[in-house]
Amino acid sequence: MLLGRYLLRRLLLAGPTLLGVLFITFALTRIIPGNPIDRMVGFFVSDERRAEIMREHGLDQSYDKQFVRYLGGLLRGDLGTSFLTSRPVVDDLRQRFPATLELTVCAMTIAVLAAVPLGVASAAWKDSWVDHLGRVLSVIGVSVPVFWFGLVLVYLFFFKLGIAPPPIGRLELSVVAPPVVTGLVTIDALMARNLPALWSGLRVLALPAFVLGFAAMAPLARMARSGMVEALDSPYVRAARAMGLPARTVVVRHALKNALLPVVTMIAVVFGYQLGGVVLIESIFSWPGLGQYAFNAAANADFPAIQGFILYATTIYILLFLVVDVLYGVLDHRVRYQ
Amino acid sequence: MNAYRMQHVVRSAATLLLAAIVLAAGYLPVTQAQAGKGALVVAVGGDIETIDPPVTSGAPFQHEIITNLYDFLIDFGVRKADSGEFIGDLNRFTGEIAKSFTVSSDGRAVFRLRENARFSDGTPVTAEDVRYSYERIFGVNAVTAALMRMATVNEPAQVRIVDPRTVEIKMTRSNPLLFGNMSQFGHAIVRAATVKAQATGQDPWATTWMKTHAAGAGAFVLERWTPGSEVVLARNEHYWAGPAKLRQISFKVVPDASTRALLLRRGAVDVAYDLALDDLEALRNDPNVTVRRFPTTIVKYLGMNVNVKPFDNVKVRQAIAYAVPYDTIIKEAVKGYGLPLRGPVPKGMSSNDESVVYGTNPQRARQLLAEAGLGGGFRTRLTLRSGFPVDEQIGVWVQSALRSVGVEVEIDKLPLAGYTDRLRKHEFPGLFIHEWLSINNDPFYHYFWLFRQGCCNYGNWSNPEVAELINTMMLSTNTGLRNDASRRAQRIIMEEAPWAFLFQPEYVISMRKSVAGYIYYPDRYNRWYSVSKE
Repeated sequence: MLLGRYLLRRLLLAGPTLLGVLFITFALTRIIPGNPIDRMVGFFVSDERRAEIMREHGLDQSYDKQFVRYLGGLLRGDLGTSFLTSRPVVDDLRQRFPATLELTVCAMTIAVLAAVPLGVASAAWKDSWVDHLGRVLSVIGVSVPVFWFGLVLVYLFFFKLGIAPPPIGRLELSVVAPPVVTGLVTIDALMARNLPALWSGLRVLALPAFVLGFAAMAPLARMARSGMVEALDSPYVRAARAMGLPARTVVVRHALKNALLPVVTMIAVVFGYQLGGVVLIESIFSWPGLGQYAFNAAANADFPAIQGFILYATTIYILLFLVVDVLYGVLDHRVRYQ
Repeated sequence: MNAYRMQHVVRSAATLLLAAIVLAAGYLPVTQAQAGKGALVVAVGGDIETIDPPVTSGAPFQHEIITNLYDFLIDFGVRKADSGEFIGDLNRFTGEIAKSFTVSSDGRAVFRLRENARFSDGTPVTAEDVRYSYERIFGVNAVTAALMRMATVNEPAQVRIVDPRTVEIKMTRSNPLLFGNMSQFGHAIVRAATVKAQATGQDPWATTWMKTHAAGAGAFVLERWTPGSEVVLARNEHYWAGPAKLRQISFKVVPDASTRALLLRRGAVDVAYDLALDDLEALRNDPNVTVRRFPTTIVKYLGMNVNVKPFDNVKVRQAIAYAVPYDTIIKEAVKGYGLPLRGPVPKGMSSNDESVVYGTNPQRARQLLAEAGLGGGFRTRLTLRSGFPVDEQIGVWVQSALRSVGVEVEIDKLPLAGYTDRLRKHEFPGLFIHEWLSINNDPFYHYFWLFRQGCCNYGNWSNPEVAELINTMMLSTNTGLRNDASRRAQRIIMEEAPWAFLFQPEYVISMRKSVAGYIYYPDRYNRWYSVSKE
């Protein structure tokens, strides 16, 4: 019950947060020089005609009126129409979100599955070769630029060895795409019992997900390690050991559970960041995700698209941190929701 | 080992084995995923935004798609080049929907339509469709309408149906610009009934619908367009000249230039656009790939805003023109894929005159600066677009060359929208890098946009004599007088040095050897009708 009330309060608080973010985004897009109309109609049109087009798009109104109109649209679920794609921003986001989600979930799965065992092992066998390996991998993961790593893997596995599929989008060209239900290629393929498409989707996902997952693994592994080192050194672990509990129980049951808390927060941060789109990786793998969309929108001053994207990204963060807070309660019984 | 442990080990081993099989199978070599014979895959750098013909002012690729979806009354012709291959010619016109066309000395251009010209739904193209297309051009009143007015066709009433197979376009004043202004995407002939069915009270020209739908009689139809991913064209089986050789063309959005190059070399795509000049060397050594390069009439220039001191001083502008390292820029910034540009009128445009030129001469530059009272040098800024590697390179070379004559340049690298904003307002704080292609290959068309006060004279330079020459000669049909006037204008512009004229970039397109029949058009909008793939 307490949890329910807590969640409700948090969701209500999300309202003002979103409004603030919307306001800042709106103000920034208007302050920074640039106008979507220029890109749309070019310079050949007369000033009168240009003014007319501005009026058609409501860009001639004062900023406060534009903002109120935008908020009004939002309440009806209308994020406006993108100047670049000529489509409603909602549709654009809806189309690109699954691509980003699919890639990110795969990447984070790889990252977490690699980082937590690596971090735990590094801490449990501190200063052993496992620990050194973990350190080296983490340094590489943090310092190697993802776009470079991505390009190298494409060069190696696609170009040289010819075993990875061409980095064009989410399915190989020869594969018949399954009907779009969720927008997640793998899930849609499963639902349509289209095994070749499922297979192709996974093959295409492998490289970009690995590159992203590797980059995300590094901070998570370091965090898991430092958390574990601290936990293993704590009085309760010493007490548990003194009571003669098996090493495995001590490490997994007692230490890991406490060490995981900061890791969970970190996972949420990295996950949220990646769900905002990863421009460089999307670029190298021609992945039609949100990063490319946001990048193009920003470069071309596509106001509605920028605003829509920021709104989406903010919502993602709010939701993720809500999930983290709930997980804290599950992982740590000392946490109480008030 | 007890039974429970045993079971656990077996289960773990089985899981591992399964995972290994899955991974290995996933990475077994596969045959290249080609779409097969008759279907072409092209890797392009970015998506299109709209396909409504008379409105767009976007990237060349967008205009290319429109050019393939729609036919115009007339298009640029083709000639046999010295090399024996056919290339498009901006000075020749050929009928597309018009079977024949004539122009009388009083400015009446008469177009006889082809009996067999059909829209992609099989219905014939009529004079009414042509008339409506032009009515719509004036109705939406964007770029294309401006080009019609330039050729003294000011209102829709000047486009008249003579009979169901004949259309007349009446110029207010006979002039040589009409055909050149008409041979491009904006003049697409649309199916009147289809467009009208989509019109609403608020949107009488169906501009919303036309952004994403085609209603044309071109060689191809729009099969699908997935924003951010691909544009797929299928051939129009009703095309008047017979169906195209290619069944289908898929344009895949591949934003990264290096990825595009790898895809082409590996054979996963048949054609790749806009490759990094650094990658071309490797491609040229690849036996399966052809790198084709063609001259353009694009002028790439270093502009100066003459409303900003000290660029109001002609000596300063000349000094800049003498300081620029032209050869180095061609060699380094475009890796030799460009020709020297020696004046405002590019090679390949009539009346091109190279009697006054600037070479790189730092000595002379310093002397001119001293004469301008700026012997101690000055500081200025250079605006360029981020994400345009060639411009960024030019910027660096210009910066270092100007430093050697005492001019300190600070580079403002702006995102496209910010750059475009300065461009439109003509408010560059000093130097800028830009380029221009006159699709109508006419010197006065060229001057009209670039060297008189108007939309695209971004550096604000003008001169009463040049303005007068443009006014009196642009519409003149006397070729001899026009060419003399054009040469006079070029000499004045060179003396006045409103820009430093950098180079004419080449158009480079890379394709697999299996692609045949490619014809280059100097407007850069590839027409895919003639292309086939083995």
